[in-house]
Formats: sequence, structure tokens, C-alpha cells
Amino acid sequence: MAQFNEKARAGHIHPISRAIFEIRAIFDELGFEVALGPEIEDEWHNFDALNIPKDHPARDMQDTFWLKRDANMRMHANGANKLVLRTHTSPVQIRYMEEKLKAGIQPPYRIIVPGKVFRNEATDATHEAQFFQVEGLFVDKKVSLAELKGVLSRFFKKYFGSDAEIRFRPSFFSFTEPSVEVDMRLRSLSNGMRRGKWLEMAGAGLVHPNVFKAVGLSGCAGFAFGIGIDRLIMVKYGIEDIRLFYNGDLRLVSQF
Amino acid sequence: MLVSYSWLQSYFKKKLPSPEKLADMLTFLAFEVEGIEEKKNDTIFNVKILPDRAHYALSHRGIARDLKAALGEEIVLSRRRVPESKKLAPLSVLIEDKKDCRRYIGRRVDGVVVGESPAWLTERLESIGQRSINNVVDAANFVMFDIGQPLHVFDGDKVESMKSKIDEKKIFIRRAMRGENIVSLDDRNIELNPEMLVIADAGGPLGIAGIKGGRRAVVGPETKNLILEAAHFNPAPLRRASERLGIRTDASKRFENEPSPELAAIAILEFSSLIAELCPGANFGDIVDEYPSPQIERIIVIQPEDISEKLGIALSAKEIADILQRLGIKVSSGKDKEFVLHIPPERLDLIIPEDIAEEVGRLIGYEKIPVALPSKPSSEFCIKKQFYWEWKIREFLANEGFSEVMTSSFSEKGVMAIEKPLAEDKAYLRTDLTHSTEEALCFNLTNLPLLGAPQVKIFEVGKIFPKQVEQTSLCIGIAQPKGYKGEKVNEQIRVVRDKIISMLGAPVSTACTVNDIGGIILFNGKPIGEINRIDGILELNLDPLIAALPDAKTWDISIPPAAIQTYKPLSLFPFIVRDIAFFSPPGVKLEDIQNCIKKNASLLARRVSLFDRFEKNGKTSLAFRIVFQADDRTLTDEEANAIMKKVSAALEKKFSAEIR
Repeated sequence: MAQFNEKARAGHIHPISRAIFEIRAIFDELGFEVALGPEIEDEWHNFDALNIPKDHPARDMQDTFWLKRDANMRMHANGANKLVLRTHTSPVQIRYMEEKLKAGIQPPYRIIVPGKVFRNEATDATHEAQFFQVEGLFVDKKVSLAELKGVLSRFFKKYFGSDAEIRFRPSFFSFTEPSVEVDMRLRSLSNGMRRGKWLEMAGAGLVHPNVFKAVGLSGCAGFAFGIGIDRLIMVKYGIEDIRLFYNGDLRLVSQF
Repeated sequence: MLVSYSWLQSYFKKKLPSPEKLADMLTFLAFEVEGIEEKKNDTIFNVKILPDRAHYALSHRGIARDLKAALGEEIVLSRRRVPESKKLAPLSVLIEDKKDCRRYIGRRVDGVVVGESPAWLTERLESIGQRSINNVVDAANFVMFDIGQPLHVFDGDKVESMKSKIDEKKIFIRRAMRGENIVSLDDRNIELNPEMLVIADAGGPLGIAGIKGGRRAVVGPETKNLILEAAHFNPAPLRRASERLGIRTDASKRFENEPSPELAAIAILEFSSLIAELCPGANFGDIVDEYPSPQIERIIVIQPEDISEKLGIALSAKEIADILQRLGIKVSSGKDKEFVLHIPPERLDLIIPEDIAEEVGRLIGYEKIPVALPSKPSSEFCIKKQFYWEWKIREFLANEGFSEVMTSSFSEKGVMAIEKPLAEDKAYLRTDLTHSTEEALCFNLTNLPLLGAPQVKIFEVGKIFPKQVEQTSLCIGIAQPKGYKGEKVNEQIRVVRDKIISMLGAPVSTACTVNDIGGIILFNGKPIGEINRIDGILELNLDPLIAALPDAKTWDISIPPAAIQTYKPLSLFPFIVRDIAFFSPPGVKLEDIQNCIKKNASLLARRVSLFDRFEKNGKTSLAFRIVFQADDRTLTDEEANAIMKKVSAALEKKFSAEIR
């Protein structure tokens, strides 16, 4: 009966944070370190450097929150480089490589980047204007899709249990080539309705040479992936509404 | 894009796999099928075409070509009569700037009879959600959905002639002039500007290039003579114009994705053949083709081994060559086992060897790629300081009984404004966490009985945007219900403030009110946090603080395992609280009492908790609080009372409890 002994009552970690905690541990075993980046990004890091040119349909894949000009002007002397709320964690790939190269540190690089991202789309049970992603980047002399499969397969098995299977489907992201969509299937998920179905869980691929070009790196290969953290948790625990994560409701948090 | 199964079938002699199987095949070829619908004698797929392939695959033929490669079948093209050219009145084309328009093909057609389309054509178009308009317009649309090249057709007699030569028609492809207007087919007056490209005659704009035609030269039942158009426009300005005008059409969508300019020549022939079939009496003029810089064949040189290496699967050079040939890529050998690849003109997406790796990968099937793990690096890596200390704070606060919340990054007021916000109250980025913490405290306070907690203790770690920079903020909040017996919230905040400062070993000081309750937190003499500005809330800028802390050597954070396996959905209906207090005879186990209450309180009891206990005259007084809530309805007081009666009766009977 701990109820009225307040000292012993531990608080709860938010499920998103908890997932990040677990993700860190899994990738730590594979030699990936954590990198972070800003939530306000410039157009170059969020798009151009990731091989997403201006006036190109590829930009439509991400509904973007642009910041108003006056905010831009003051923050950046270079007014041409407009500011956005980052639409993905991928710009941290660029920032990390730039920083390492500046410090004279060549690959191999292995990072994961957990963080909040923003999409300008109407919200409903499966869409939020803000959500979390974890980015992964692996850069070395030679890197293959088989290694990407190996790393992601290991991750999903560790996070969901050994019955988790993954498959690759061809896809398109400007900053990877080849690009794949990663589906996962759980044979014995306890919350019933999703059992055995393939669920889209991540986007991934081999790093596009233009991305390396943008940071001035040559003679390298790499893979990158982006996993929606909210989705991981929703599938794992059977949460139906993404909006519950961001309304400060302890009825959700205290279940974790 | 909507894709018709029987339309695809028309490209193959052999029967295609069943619609379900074909849908799977398309998905694994890169065309995710998001929906399948049975329609008359057809099946319609809703296919997601991603931007890299949209230039060739927003068409049935483009998809059929990829299917051909996957199935190893040949494609058969239906043979229509290609009409001969005759000497008709002259047509000329003038492209003002070849950067805007890489190719423009025009052709006069005389003596058509505009009328209803034959059933097969109407059916084809209707199967993919298009309305039949008339045979000529339908023919243009059919060819667009068939091969991906948008087409346009003008009523030739409504196109103004040149003043000097009365029977010559001249088409101009030029930027709109300032102040120029066009009336659209749906009778809207559209203002144009010099950033927009128009198709014009001597009298002004006839259409907005690649986006929409105007009303002036529209083809109607009275039309006898036509001018056909198959063109290639620069996608970037077209896209900007389409965005600016808010007009997106099937044509503009395709032009934006830049189909090959080579396609225009094929399209004009197929368009002509179809019109010849629909209007047997029509006469076709010469093809006028302005194509100043033709597309050059692209060559990609690959080393087959590199492809195997990128995919991580052993493939022979022959296997790779076979796959590429099935895609219509001509493979010849270069030096040192190299392959020299001749890329078909419509595949503008194939530029570098990595693109070839994707083609090979998707055609052999990614499921064949084995699983490999990269070897672990030998070097030690560092722990990101910011990340570590944020977690140290989470760990500490959770141990102190605080629960972590996350709230919206958007707010009604602020400094950094969003260009197109989702809502008025989300027009800015938040400048603090205090506001949302205050709201969360308030909200959770109303649910305290459900949470089974005596007070609300929360925190958030997140980015705020108080000036033109973002910073990491920590906010801690406490709220209590009226009549709470413990320490006041401000006092508790003071305690946690001191604890967290000492835990971090952070070089900060406080400047506080006399009673040490409210005030600010200082770092190097600068304020970085506020204490109890609003009662029970502390907010602190973590960035300077963490910068001053040492790097972490090892990851030593631990959190308790998740309490649940499966999430219990929240009820949308209100809850009812009932208390019950009684004296229980000595020697009765608390656990047994609680089980008895739970057993009798029905499934509607969300929480049963002991909230008071004291001894009097050798008897133990216990007070339990029961919270009732249903998932599907609002509970009534009567229901709760009836359950409580049952609980009382059970306690009296089983433990001889004296209900107070």
C-alpha cells in the first residue's frame, strides 16, 4: 500500500522519452553514438544539402512550416537562406559530418539522432504537426544495403521482440539511392488487431553521393534511415491517437 | 494515380496475374498500391507514384514497361493507322525563350467532326475517374493517361491569324505581359504576370502553358479545324505558376515532373492516329516541331561488381545485364569489365551508378538481400553532453516523483512567427514552457482521483524560442487540490530547486525573496531561470548550465521498466468518486480488504486506493476511495450508489467492518 506514502511514489518518464532511452541502448551496442541538432533549420540543411532542390516535386513530400521573414532576417544575415521548422532529423546528418570534417575527423561515422520534427498538415489520430524521429547514419569506405538490413533487423527485434521481421520495399527519398521503405511484421503482438500485418515503420537507403558532395566528403559510402518514434510506441503498446503524446495528459504518461 | 487493370492488360498478350497479385507486384516494383477497387469489368488501382519516377510512370505505358521488366514479357502496342500529312494552310511556332519551352510541336487538322466518343474510349477514361467531354478532347486525355505526355488542342478557326498572311496561324510561346488576363474554360478571369508562360496567338493568350487552356479557342461541337499541341515546358517556373495560381491539373502535375521531351513526338503521332480513327474524314497538316536542343542519349558506365557490393548480394555480370536489358537499357561492354549503359530517353531518373543499383535491386527483389551486420568500431565514442545531462535530470525528477509531459511547440503569441500556421492559436513558436505547464497542471488536477495521486507533479524538457534563438528549457510544476494537507507548492518547488542544483553540481546561485520562495536563478550573474513566478512552477534555461557541466564518461542513467505491456485507452466519459470509511477489527489483512472491495466494486471501478488510516481504541479506521468510470457512457449517481451498497454489505459481512 504505497498510495499514501508519497516519498516512495516514483514519477513516470514520457513514453517518447522512454522509447528514445531504449533506442539509444540498442544502437549503443552496435556502436552508434547520439548526435543532436536544432529544431529551427535553414533551408540549405533541411533541403538543399539533402539533394531536395527548390521548385521540385520532391519538396512536396514534406509539408513544411516556414518561419516568417522578419524572424529570418534577424536570425540570419543571409536572408536568402530561409528558416524552417525541421521536417525531418536528416539535416543533422549534414551538421554532424560538417562538424567532424571541420575538426579533421574522417569516417567511419555512426550516429543516431533522436529529435522532434514538424510537418504542416492537418492533425488527426495518426498525424500531428509535431512528432519524433530517430535518424541513423553510417558512413564508411564500403557500405551495403545488406548491412542496412542487418542493423534495422537487429533494431526491430530488440525493440519489439525476436518475432519482429522486416522487409524492404522500393521507395524514394532524395537523399538516399537506392531508397527503401521498411515494413515490419509481428507475429505475436499482444494487442491483437495488428498481429501479422506488415506495417510501414521507416524510410532508409544508401546515402546519395550528392549528400556527401554537399559536405565535401569523397570516397565514402553510407546508409541512413529515419524511424518514426511515435509510430514505434503506438504499435508496441496499441495507442490509437498520436495527439495523446503532446497534450500533457498524465492519464497516458502514468501508464508508463 | 488511378491505374486500370484492363488498360495495363492491353499491353500484354499473355493474361496478367490476378489484380491482387499484380497489386503486390506493383508495390514491390516501386509503385505502392494504396487501394484496389472493382469497377464494372475492371479493377482500378490507386497507385502512389513517387517524384523520382513520376516523369515516366504517371502513365499506363510507363507502368506497363516496368511490369514488362518484372514479368519478362513483351509489350504489344496497338497499331493504329498513322495518317499521312497533307498540304494545309501554314502553321508556325515561335518560342520566345528556349529555356522556358524546350520543345513545341504543333499540327493542323482540318475537317474533324466533334461528337461523342465511342464506348471504349469513354469507358477507359471513366474507369480512371475522368469525364468524357467530346471525341477530340477525350483523345488528348487518353494519350496523356496512356503515355504520360499532356496534350492540348485548340479550335483552329478561333486562333487569330496574322494580319499580313490571312491563312497563316502563328503560335507564340512567351511570358505573359504585365496586366494580361485570360478567361479560363470555367469562365474565371485569371490575372497573369511575367513569371508565367502562355501560349498565345496574335490576339493574346490562348492558354497558360502546361497548366490550363483558355476559353477563347476551346474545342466545341461547332469546331471543324484543330491545332494540336505537344510540348515540353521548363518544370520549375511552371510549378511556381501553378502554385501561384492555385491551379493544379493532370497536365501540370505531369509537366512539373518533367517527362522526356522525346515523348512529345510520340504523343503527337498517337494523338493524330486516334483522331484519324475517330474522325475518318480529317486531314492532317505537316508536323511543325520546334526543338532547338534535342535530348542527348545518356550513358552511364558501371562496374557490375560495384552494383553487387552496394546491394550486398552476389550477382553475376550476366544477371545484372539481363535485368537492365529487360528495362530497355542497352548494355555494351567497356574497358575492364565495365558496362556501358545506354539509357532509354524516358528514363530521366537514371543518372548515376547508384540509380542503376536501385533498378537491379528492385527487380531481383529486396527480399533476396541477405542480412549482414557491420563490424563494431574499435574506437571508443563520446557521450553527447547535452543528451546525457537532460537524461540525468529526467532520472532525478522521476525519482523525486515528477512525471514527464510533452506539450505543443506552438503558441498563440511569441517571437518567431509561422508563415502559414495551422490555426490562429498556433501562429508562433512557444517562448516558454511555463504556460503549457500551467495548463497541464490545471487539466491533470481535474483527473487526480483517476490518477490516484494526491497532487500533480510534472516536468517538461523541451526547446523554446524566446528570442531569435532556440534554447533548451526545463520546467517543473506542482499543483494540489484544495484542502491538501502537505507542504505548499512554492515550498516544494524551493526544495526541488535546491536538490536539482546540488545534484547537477551546477555553478548557479539564486536571488530570492526574503522567504526564499520566489526569485530567479543566476548563472555568471545572468538570470537563467525563474522560481514560482507562477505559484508552483520553476523554469530554467538548461543550455548555459549544461555547457558548464563536465562530459560524461559512462552512460549511468537508469529508468524503471515500463509499467504496462498494452496501453489502456482513456475513457471519454466523466468519472465518479466515492469514499468509504470503516473500522476494521484487528488482525485483518489490508490486502484482503482491498481485494474484497475490488471484487464487489465491479469492472467500472477504475481505481481503489487507501487514503486514510488511523488507530482508535484498538480498532483500525480505514478510508478507501473508489473511482468509477465507464468506457461507453456517463455513469449515473444511482449506479455508483448501488455498487457502493454492495461493497459496504460485503465488507460488513466478511470482515464485520463497521461502516462509518
